[in-house]
Amino acid sequence: MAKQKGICQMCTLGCGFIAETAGAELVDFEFDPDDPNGQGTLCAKGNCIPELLTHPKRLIAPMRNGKAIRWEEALRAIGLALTQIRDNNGTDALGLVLSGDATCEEVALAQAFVPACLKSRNLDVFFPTNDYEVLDALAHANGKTRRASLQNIRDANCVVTVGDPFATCPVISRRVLDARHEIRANSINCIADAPNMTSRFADTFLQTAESRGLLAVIKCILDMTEGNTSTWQKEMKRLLDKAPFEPKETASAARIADRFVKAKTGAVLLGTSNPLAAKLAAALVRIGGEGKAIHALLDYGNSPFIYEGFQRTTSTRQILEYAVAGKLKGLVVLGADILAGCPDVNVKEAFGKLDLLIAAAPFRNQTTEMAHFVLPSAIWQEKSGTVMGRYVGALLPPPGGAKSYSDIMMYIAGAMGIRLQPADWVRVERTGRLEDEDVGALVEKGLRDDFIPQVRSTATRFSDGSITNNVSWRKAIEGGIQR
Amino acid sequence: MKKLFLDLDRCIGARACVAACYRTHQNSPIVEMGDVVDAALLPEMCRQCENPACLAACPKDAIFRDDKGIVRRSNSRCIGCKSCVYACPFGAIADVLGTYMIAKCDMCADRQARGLIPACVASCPSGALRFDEIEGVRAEKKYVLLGGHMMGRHPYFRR
Repeated sequence: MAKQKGICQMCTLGCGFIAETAGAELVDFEFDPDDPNGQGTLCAKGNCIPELLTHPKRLIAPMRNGKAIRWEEALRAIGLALTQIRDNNGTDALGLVLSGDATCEEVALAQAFVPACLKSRNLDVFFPTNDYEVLDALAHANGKTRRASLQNIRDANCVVTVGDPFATCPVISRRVLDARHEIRANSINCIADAPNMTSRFADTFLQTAESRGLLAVIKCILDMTEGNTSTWQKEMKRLLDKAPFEPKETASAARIADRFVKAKTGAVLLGTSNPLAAKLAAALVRIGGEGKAIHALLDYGNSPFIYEGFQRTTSTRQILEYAVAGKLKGLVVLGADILAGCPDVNVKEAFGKLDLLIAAAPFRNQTTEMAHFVLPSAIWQEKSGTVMGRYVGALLPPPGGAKSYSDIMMYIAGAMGIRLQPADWVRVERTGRLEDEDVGALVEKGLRDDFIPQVRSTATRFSDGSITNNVSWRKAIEGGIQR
Repeated sequence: MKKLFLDLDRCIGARACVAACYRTHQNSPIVEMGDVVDAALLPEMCRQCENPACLAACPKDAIFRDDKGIVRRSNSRCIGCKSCVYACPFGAIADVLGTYMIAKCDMCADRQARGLIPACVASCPSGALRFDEIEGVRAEKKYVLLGGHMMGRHPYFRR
């Protein structure tokens, strides 16, 4: 029996838990009161971690066209097929898509694996939501220097939420509500397109499209602080003066702006996957003055590439377009369920045109149904590595023949006769500034706000014992299917 | 005796209590989340009534009060007649466990024996649930009675 501390990777907060294991089995799962992030609590997603480990859809043996085979056979065939495609078609005929739950080390290995073994530039870390774009937008708009810590949120006099952060990361609500109950001057202001879990607690609720609402608040702040503004702000003000905001929007926005500017400390909680809203929220923090900071809450826990300098060369959508155009012949998918995560692209057509599709995944999913080779892989409780800036050890060994993504890449490289050298991990700072942004485009797009979330993760469903963190389409929600 | 308290001013409806209960009670849904007049979400938990209707309704004495005062259900005596399910005025007993079983909150007796608080309270992300002595909480004068002994903070109703 061994007691270990683990970090939940169901969202970006990273709450801690204590797992007691005996051999390959989880004996006890307990809350960790000493953890600074979770403070001894877990949300519905975190409570389902033990359920993931014994999930009925778990893959444990490699498969070729639906039939179970041994690892040696699978690797020999995969190595042969990949080498053949690479030699016949030259560079960029192969690609690799890595799942968002990969550790930093695995992303580094993939950055070495793809050029060395596949002779290609087609590599992406795949997220069904726009996590990459949101964090990129934040970094680009200098949001990184104004990142709010969890203590900042606890101490903030004014909180502005964009979207629904309480639904994405419920554990954050304790800090926000603590601040409301203990600091009397605290106010919660919500900008969202529909009433949601967060808006129920809002003192002011600006119900409009996210980026439109943010622009309305920015306009009110710019009106308040006339004089000594930068050219960027002047340009923004000029464009926004003509913007057609409704009186109801303006009234709520003025209240929010007044509170945000007057508050000594303020925090913006970003609970949306809208990249444009992220950029504008970062602008709001900049314009709001000293003591204001931003915190992004995202659906996917480990975003390994964001702060560690992953160089994105090709997006998954581009890779799929190459496949449709016939340029891409083979694809290795490690963990990502592309078919379920890209509803707006015809993934089935792209997969149908591939000569070889290798899918490694912990669970049976839509992508593994279409794959020529299926390899069982470990989930995040079963591998060690750096996640969210912390090194996390494996809690349990993977069941059956499941292996981590790094092991799978090393084995495939071995089968292709290539010795892999992990690439040097280079920290790349994104140096974009808000001042370099095209204000006109920002305002025009923001007022229109045609953003439709692709995938929205929903609350846990228990009654049928199906997968815990299920994902449903916007279409399905609109069609009236119960979440 | 310690009881469960709910601060409706803090409950965000994250359903973490439901998940925690589900996990700690061998996947039987004891806590469910119900809507109250479209405005609030209320975890439907056992109130541990002073004079429990479920106990009175049980034909086989399967529901009993233990030495700590907790109303519990005996696994061996329950015949699954669901009398308690219909008797409970709060709908806090679930009948979905299967043959000869109903799901009844036992205030996490096994966790309490290990010196831990009930799982739903420990899990609550927003700090809305509280497990405390009823006298102490009454003295604070922050809570009003909200059906049985589940209590909510009254400022909620003023909003």
